[in-house]
Amino acid sequence: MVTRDLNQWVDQQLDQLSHCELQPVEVAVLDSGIDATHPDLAGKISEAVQIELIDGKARIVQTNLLGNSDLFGHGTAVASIITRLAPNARIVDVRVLGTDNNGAAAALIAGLKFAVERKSRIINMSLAVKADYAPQLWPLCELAYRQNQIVVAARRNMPLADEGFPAEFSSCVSVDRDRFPTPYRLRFNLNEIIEYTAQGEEVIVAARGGGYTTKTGTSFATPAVSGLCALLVGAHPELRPFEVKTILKAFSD
Amino acid sequence: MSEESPLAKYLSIFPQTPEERVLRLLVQLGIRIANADEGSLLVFDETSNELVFAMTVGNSQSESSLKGQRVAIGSGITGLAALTREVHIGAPTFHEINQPDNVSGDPKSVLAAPMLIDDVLVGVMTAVTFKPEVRFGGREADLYAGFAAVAGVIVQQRRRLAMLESESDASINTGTLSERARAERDIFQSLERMLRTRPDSLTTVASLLAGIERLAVPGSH
Repeated sequence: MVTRDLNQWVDQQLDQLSHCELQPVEVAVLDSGIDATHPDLAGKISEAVQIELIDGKARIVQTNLLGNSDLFGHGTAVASIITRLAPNARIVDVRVLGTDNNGAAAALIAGLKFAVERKSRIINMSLAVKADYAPQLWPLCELAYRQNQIVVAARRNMPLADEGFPAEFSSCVSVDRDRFPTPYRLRFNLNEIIEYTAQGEEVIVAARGGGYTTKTGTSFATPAVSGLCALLVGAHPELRPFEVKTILKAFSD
Repeated sequence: MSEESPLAKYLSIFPQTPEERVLRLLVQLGIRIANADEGSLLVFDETSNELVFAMTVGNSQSESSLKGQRVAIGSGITGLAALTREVHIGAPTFHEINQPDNVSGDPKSVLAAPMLIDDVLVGVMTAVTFKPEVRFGGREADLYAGFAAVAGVIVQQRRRLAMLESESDASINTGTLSERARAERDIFQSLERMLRTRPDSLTTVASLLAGIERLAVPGSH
């Protein structure tokens, strides 16, 4: 009974937050690109780039802000969850996932560097890499934390030796998935590496090319947390990353 | 002479072997537990950066038509699973957020889980359903993630065993190929494949080989 009342109170608080005056918050989405022609995302994308790897070196290339740069529909789905929760989110589309099977991790690292350098307030990483790349990711996540940026990162879905990086870093907000009735519901995982669990099962999302589909995975729980962070930072721009984490924990079951 | 199966060609797992039977059993178990109609195992062809259908369970017609078919890494749910090394689920698309006016055709739901050896892709396991009432979710994703991990271990063990057998063969000199001869054969086969599939890359390969020659034969430049 107490839990249900608390949940209702949290839902009300966050719902009210989404309807109050919010400052725009830049959210970098490191993913497969975004379909900016989808009605849910039209006008929400403030910049679009892609990471190109040439002889192992990363290059940032501007892409069409108003077009469809999504190769798989993954990034479109992720971005639509953020914009649905946080109407104040201004999305920066950072395409790090191409068709090249090699170099995906290098592109992800270059994409994170780009988002950290432009000081995007929130960085959504619904992708994870293995521990081998942790030494390259760690200083970027630390720098982001010091620069008052919030990196929200997904746990890997595959049962491998680690939970995925950068999700394992304490400087990030790490996210697992579960079946929850609303995207406002969170669970704090006491004594676990992955701190929060959010709605990530059968989430209705925007589909690449138009229309809607459902998605399941940590990839789609992560933007729910990014959206909540964008709401909180939009209402209280002075919040530091540790304060946002504390508020998320207070809202959690 | 019959053509070599994709499973044997890319993973060295030959028909009628225990490894082949266990992989087929994993695909069978997967579709049974997930209430899927079909399940497939695709192997990764590193040379062409494509996935190749190696076995399909649930529909014999599908098995005969799909076997050997290729899927580009940058294509669909299967390609996304290969690229991200993550489990992915595909579902139908609807026009409106709350209306069941399905605009995409069959199948109704697709699940793809990558088979990895220390994060190196060796293949993808998939499940497909054509039943509108069946929707793959987190439970099925976890199940397939586990099955794909087991499949990866089977392939890894097969490779280790092959390596041991190769060393053993070489040491007793039975007339079969030594490890070095196998490596040379593999290099020639790779070059042959590249000639067939990616002739544009031969200039790069030629300069690489010339570089190796310069390293191997001091004073050759």
